[in-house]
Amino acid sequence: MSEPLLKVEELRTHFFTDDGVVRAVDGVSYEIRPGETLAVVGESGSGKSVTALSILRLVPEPPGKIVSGRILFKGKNLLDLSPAEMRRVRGKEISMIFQEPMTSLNPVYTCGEQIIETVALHEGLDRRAARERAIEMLRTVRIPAPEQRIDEYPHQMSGGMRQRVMIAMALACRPSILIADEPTTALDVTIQAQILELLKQLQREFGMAVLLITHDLGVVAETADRVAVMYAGQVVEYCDVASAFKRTLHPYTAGLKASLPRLGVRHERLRVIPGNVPNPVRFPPGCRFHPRCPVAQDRCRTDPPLQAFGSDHLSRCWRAEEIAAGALDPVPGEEARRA
Amino acid sequence: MTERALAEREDVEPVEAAQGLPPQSPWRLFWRQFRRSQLGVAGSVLLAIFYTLALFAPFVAPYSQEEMDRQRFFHPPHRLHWVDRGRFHLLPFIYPTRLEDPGNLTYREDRSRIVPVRFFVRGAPYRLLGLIPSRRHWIGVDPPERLFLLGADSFGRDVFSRLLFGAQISLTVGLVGIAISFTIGLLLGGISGYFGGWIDTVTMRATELLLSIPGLYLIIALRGIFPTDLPSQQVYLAIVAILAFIAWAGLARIVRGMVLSIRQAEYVAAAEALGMSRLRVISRHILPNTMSFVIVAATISVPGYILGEVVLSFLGVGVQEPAASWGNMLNQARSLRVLSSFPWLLYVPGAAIFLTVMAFNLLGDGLRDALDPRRVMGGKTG
Repeated sequence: MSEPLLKVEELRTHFFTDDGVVRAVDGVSYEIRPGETLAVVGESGSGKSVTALSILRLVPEPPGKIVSGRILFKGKNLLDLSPAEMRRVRGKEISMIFQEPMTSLNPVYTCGEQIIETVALHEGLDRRAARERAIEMLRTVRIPAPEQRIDEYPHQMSGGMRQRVMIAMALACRPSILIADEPTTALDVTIQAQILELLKQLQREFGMAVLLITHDLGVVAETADRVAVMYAGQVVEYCDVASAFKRTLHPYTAGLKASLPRLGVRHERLRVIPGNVPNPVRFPPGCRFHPRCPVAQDRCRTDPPLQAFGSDHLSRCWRAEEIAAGALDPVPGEEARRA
Repeated sequence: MTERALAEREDVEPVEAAQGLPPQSPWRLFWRQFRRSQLGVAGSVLLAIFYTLALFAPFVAPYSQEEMDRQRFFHPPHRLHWVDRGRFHLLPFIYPTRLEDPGNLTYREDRSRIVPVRFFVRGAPYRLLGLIPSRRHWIGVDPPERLFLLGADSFGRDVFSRLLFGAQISLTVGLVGIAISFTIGLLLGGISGYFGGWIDTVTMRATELLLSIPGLYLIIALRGIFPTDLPSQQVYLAIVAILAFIAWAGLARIVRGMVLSIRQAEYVAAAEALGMSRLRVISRHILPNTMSFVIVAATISVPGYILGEVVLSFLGVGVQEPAASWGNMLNQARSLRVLSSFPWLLYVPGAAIFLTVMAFNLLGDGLRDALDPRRVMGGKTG
């Protein structure tokens, strides 16, 4: 197995607000190997985006602060870099694309201008060479007639086109990791599929790793190699994509899975996980999921460790062993319903 | 199809066709909008004329701003004539005048001979735009007669010439002033809004302090910092500095507010994620998005500077004689006697100030309509 390209170790990012300390990221570890796709899944407020922003050290400070942990990129700790060194990593080594294609391009510049700026910044190309590169990148992201569209303004493009431009910007300097923060959430379903397909193709072409942040298990199933499920600032399950769907070892993951709508089943209420994401200022003691967990026990009021089951499958649940052995159905009634 | 429907279709088609055309830059969209505002265009044309005249003041003015004529204090504006004893003259002429009543300083036209008005006459030497030496003046009469198109002041100086030279100061005070105050205001407002925290607190408390002092007292107090007998060019700079020092605060506050909202936009996060430095993010990605507001605000605030100079000069602490400014020209029209007997000393600089301030406000309104983002984005006006 190859060395991890990026390794997040026990990362803690907290926000110090007037209401108390928000432990948005509380001891998160995961790693990405070259060329692989890691999907980070979780509800809103589970800390998945903050973890990604922490990798790029873009957490707004104050009130946010990376309290402890290490982020090893190609063996060096990004948290030790100076701001200037960090800027050379952003966009050049690790790039990021965002959720909202409507607002992620600056309305006052042409699309080309924004790609050119990035290329000129990191690679020191002169304007003409940078423009050539920008056209080439637009072609790479399958934008038709890139020579013309390079001079268009964002408001002249559709959401899907803008997301392609955003991807072109992010990839213009051939980063080795692309962080995609819910890249398709704001797009309609057909465009979503196109963008995901494009990302997959580009990943193969460029040989880059992708950190995909999403709350959509469907997207995970289609694109990811490995999955990290986050809940309340912690990774609760961490495994390869097949295990996440076939051998779920955490009731939360199982709950997410159960809440997916199923094709061909009519007149059925969508299943939901009862309750809400806990208040991040006062997480419940012990397992943070236990107040919502259908199979919680007294033991769950104490902190469960992130245990390994088999090679490369981690779960933060006291009852994971029982689930692994098939002795416990993490979502009671679900198996019967599926059958 | 009815005729009316046809007409509407014709209205629609060019728009549809335009979508296939090369991209419309915000600049072109702006221009299309701006042309619709007739008052805005009128204001900008008027200002273009004023600034051109100011730029070429030494050529347009028949005399220099300091040239006095001790025989003709308070000479009223010359009337231009075309007909003399039933004979029509192609070019205008004036009648020479004689002092009629030395006590009341009234003049009478001497109809016995005419003094033709000449164009492109040789007169006092000057350097056009500070570079090209010349003696040609656009208009004038043969000495020893003098042409007072807009009358003469208490020293027998030509008001028209002084108006033009004064425009060089009065019209540029605003431009230099906003250049300074907007640089400060944008930078501090941008930094304040972007970084937040204690930087924001310090900047905003400073602006509040500045804004809490009544403007006129602050201007006069600040003028007290500089010695009263500065050479006129340094006085000019001092005035600009004082006015800019007062004006940046209000702007910084508004820009800060805008930056606070713009920095939430994802393109700011994207720019940061692509490795741009904070200064670059502020200057290239945040502040340009405040431009439509800033351009309008700048236009609307120019009159404030012009009036500020007028106030300082009127109080006698602005531009010093013999250099002309619209403010110190008005200063001459302070006494009741001047107002009743030599009203042109009030009307001429007063009208110039009024028209300029008006034109800037019209231009500002036109710009605001044209730059309104809701309209620009829609492409079509309602």
